[in-house]
Amino acid sequence: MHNATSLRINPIIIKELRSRMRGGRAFITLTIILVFLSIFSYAVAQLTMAATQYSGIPVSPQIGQTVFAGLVFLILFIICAITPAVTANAISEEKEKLTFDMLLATPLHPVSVLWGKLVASMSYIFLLIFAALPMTSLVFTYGGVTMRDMLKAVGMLLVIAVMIGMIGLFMSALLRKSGRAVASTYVVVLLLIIGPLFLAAGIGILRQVEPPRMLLIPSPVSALASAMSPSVNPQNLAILSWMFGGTFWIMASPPISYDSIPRPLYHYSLPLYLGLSLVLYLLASRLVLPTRRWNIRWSEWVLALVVILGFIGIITSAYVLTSPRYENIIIVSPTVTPTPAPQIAPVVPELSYPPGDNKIPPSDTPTPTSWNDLDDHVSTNLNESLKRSLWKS
Amino acid sequence: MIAITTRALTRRFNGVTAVNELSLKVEAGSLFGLIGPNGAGKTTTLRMLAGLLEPTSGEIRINELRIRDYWRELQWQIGYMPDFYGVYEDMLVWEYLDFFARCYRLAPERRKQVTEELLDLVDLTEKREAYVHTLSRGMRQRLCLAHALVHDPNILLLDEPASGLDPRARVEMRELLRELRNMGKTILVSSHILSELAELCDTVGIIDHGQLIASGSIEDIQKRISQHRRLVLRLLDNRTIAQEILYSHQHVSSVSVLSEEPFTAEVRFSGGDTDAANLLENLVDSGVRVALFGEANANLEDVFLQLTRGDES
Repeated sequence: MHNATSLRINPIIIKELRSRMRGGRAFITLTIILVFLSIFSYAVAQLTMAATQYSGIPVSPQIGQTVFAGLVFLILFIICAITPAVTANAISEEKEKLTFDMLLATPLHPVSVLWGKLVASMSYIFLLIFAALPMTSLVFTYGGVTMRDMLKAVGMLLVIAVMIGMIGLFMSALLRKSGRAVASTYVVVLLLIIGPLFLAAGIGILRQVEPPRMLLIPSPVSALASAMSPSVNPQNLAILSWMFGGTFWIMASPPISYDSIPRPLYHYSLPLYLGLSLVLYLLASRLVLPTRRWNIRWSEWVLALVVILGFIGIITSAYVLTSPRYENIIIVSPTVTPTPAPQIAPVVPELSYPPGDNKIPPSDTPTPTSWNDLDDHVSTNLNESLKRSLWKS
Repeated sequence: MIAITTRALTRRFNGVTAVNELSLKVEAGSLFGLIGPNGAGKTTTLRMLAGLLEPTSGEIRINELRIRDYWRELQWQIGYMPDFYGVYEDMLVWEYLDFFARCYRLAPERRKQVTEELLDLVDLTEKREAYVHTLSRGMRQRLCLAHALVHDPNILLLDEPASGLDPRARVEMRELLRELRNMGKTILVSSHILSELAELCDTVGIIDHGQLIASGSIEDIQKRISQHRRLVLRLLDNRTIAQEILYSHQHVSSVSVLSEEPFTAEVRFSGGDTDAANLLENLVDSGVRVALFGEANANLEDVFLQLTRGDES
């Protein structure tokens, strides 16, 4: 009886999908969301058209960008609203109904239960995201948005969904009561979204300085905004700003600098979200165990350590690989010797010199070493020769 | 062979002792009833036996193996059924069994076969395509019991399988348990009603406040707790003479009148059978007409109450 097919689908996934996708419920929800999204994007397009009617600039790319940003943010808020409800009761409900005991009594490992719950709930959320894609891609007909922008936004949405899902599952395993788990997951998600903004705003008001940009890293709204900002000009989003917190957008965009290109905020948010999801998964995988929860064997320590180090390694290498494009260019090539400025002979009006004195007078100004100095050098020499020619005549 | 042994099993929750020094022995192939009032520690004991809860101290052996060391192996030999809440409401009946068969990694063909067999065993074949939430309570209990059998375990731990069932469903559940015992399984079943299990169990253990108060066959327990037999008498006349005889008799400790007409009394009697015969002879000789003289019906609930109340006083 023990011998069974080696390729086995996690029974939890099958069970969850069977009961979630059955009947029209899941698909009716999906349809309602899609209808809502399309009405919303139509309204945004109309508003943008009305707003840009009297300006002379081409309208189409602006509409494309605005509709794109609006849709992506709306999907983000739908994710934030639905994911806790789908995940935060996953473990606690089983505990409340005593079915968790039944699962634990089977050879199914508790961590498989956790994994199954994650995959099943995420597949539903991912379905929502992917179902909205064809409609979102209508913005390509307006232009102003590239495929790359679209992929970045979808990637961010998927990672944010996984993070919120993991927060929900963790709370569910920790608190054991569905009501409390769902409520606290919503609180955490809300804090993630608005907490950084309030903190930044508070610092800005109290200290009268520009708050550090890094404060906004945890906020999914800022992260998503920064992932989209190279293509979407914040100034185009006057209509959206009152809906989706334009302040986030402005603050999330990197400060203007001429020395280097700062990393966009999402380069920090992405590892934070993935790392948080990973840590919560590791913690939750202990919380679901029935006995000896924190009695961790050394092999399990090693495994956790390998996973965490692997994650850190991947993130670090991603940073190193992308660094030539960003501010830490120095780290990669620390010895950039400044090329000496070319020696340029000062322009001297030939005719103004008296015969026999056909020679450049020795100058006390130093040889130029850089472009800036050269400018100086040239101008002083010019002045001098000018003066001399005037004096001669 | 002994299927389940516990030694000085203790479990505390935040200072509250749920199970206290519990030592049990359940013979293989027997049906053991764990009986106690609500909150006596039955569920805690069963969860520890199923390996779902770590004992604070003490030891559990299943089929002679320590559960702490061999839990993963022992899971294949134990079927555990929690209280009746343990059902997924939004599944079909066959899916429910199929799901647990998958948890036990049964191959697809075997899964299908087991599902049909179990549906037949618990008499739910015609409900195969019904949603679990449309089932009656008795049917859910039977379905929940069926789930514990998908891997054909030889030990069954059933927590209150008959609680909340109407008399008919209770009879069906009892029949099912009998059938399972005939299949050679060791069954440990808990209940807060002694009579529910009395005629079914080979052995019972009475548990209260986490402690095992008595264990053995029901007759043994009854005998042990009632050093005072209770005799019931119904007399047709000469009541005063009878009362004199009764009150003066050395083995009678108390007389309680159950009804006046006809005069019926219950007598607590400490003597043996000979003493009882002598008492009857005495009464008849004195001219008392005795219509009924016999042992009071051994009321299981009384036994149970006596045992569990005795602990409080």
